[in-house]
Amino acid sequence: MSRQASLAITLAKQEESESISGLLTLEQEEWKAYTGLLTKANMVRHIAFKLFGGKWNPQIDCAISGERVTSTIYAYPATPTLPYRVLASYGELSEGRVQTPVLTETVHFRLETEQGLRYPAHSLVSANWLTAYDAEGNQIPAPGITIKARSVGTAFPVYGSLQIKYRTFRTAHTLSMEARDDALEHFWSAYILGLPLGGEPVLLKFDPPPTAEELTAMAAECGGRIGLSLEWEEQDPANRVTPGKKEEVWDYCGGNFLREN
Amino acid sequence: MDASLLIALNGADSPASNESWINLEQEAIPTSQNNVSTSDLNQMLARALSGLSARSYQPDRCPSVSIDSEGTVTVTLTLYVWPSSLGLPYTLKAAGAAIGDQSAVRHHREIDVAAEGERVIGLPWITEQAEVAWQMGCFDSHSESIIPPEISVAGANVVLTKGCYGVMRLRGVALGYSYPVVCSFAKVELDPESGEYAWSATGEVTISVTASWVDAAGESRSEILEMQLPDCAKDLLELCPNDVPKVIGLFAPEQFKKRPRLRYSACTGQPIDADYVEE
Repeated sequence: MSRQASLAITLAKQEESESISGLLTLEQEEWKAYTGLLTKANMVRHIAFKLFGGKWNPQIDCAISGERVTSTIYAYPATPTLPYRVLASYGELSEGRVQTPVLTETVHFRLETEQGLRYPAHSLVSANWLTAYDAEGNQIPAPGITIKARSVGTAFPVYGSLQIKYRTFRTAHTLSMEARDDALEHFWSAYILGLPLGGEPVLLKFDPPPTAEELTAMAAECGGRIGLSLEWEEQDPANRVTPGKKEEVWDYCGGNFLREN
Repeated sequence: MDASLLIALNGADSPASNESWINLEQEAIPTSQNNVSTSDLNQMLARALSGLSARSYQPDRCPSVSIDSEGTVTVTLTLYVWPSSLGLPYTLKAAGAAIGDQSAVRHHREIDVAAEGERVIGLPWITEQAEVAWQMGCFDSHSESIIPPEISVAGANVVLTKGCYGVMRLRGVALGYSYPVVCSFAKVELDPESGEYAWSATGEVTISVTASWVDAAGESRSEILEMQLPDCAKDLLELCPNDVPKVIGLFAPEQFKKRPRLRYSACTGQPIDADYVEE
């Protein structure tokens, strides 16, 4: 859009947006959509493995490696120079690794002059009005914008959508924990506490992997794997046990293990 | 350890005051009742490779659901009522289900309790025999470390001698009531000529439970919980719209003159009978 070239952009002084609260934002990396579930790909590979053999070890990704769960916690300070600490109520939290990712966000104005950003913006990469109308519904030239740490503003009320690309600053912390072995429930629960110097502490409740609490409560193994060895001779299914091979006999009605030959 | 798994509470941020309140909670349905696992695949493969139908495998993972000989599917769920006071009078109503007899419950529970500057923090239930301890340090509103305040538990409240930011681990006995909530789904004849049937309720079925009580000011209050049917119950309802037995032929050794045939219920996977057919 040609409007982009004429945009007037002002980066406001960071101090303007600072307050005693909101100095630090904590976020946990989301679990994958299939965490704890059997995917179609895994299912197909599992069947192929059972039918044709191979070395593939069927695993459902339960986000539990060994007996540990590992997750990434992001801390977004309002300014990169803000001193802060991040603690965990349970588990081990690593030192922060500095990252400066470029994020894209679409901000919708409904005749306001300011809208919030999801993360603190420390430098603007690009801004592009997708639509811009005034209060009377007339299309207008792209309004100039002002970027503050956590918000984007316009000089006058506008109805439209702004696609903004900005660089943010964050530290990534690895949280690693084992299930609480003496707990009655909530084996994987924890809070992350962010402590910005001079600012209000922020708390984030750790979201354990889907099914992790249930697996631990039931003392079950991820994926419910069982050892099942099937050997048979194709032309003679009645005598499907190859001499020297192991056969496990299961009750096909109840699925209960009966005996091993 | 409690065998039951409990889902997130409705209104877990209970009011930390003397107001009367009721939290409703559904006993959680383990997701393993709903999802396939490699164990299921192994079982189905074992059947297929043995000459049986893999479809005859029905994982025993829907214990809250039963099907009678008439084809009526009955789902029994458990409802917990956590009142602010055990003597608080209340009524329960359920849309689309029957509520059974009340039982007093004393559940050992354990949760993290977050303090965010307040002195009194509401718990979702009345707690007895509470053991509570700070999980890490305690901090003031400027993120400065302070001496952690003392903690006491009174009824359904955690009380601190001073407001601060931090996390406590609380273990105690939660006091409340439980009720069985029973709903049945019967077959409904859609088209007598074609013999098509449907279930009286399928799809996204929810059971709405309302607790009503009167607070200290004489105001009527209510709390509503939408109870969820287990996904495995929905699967069963869809699997057997008309409990017509399925028939499978079994492999037979060469020396057998007849081939065995098995009839089983498509709903339950249970064998009905077997016979032999001439090859």
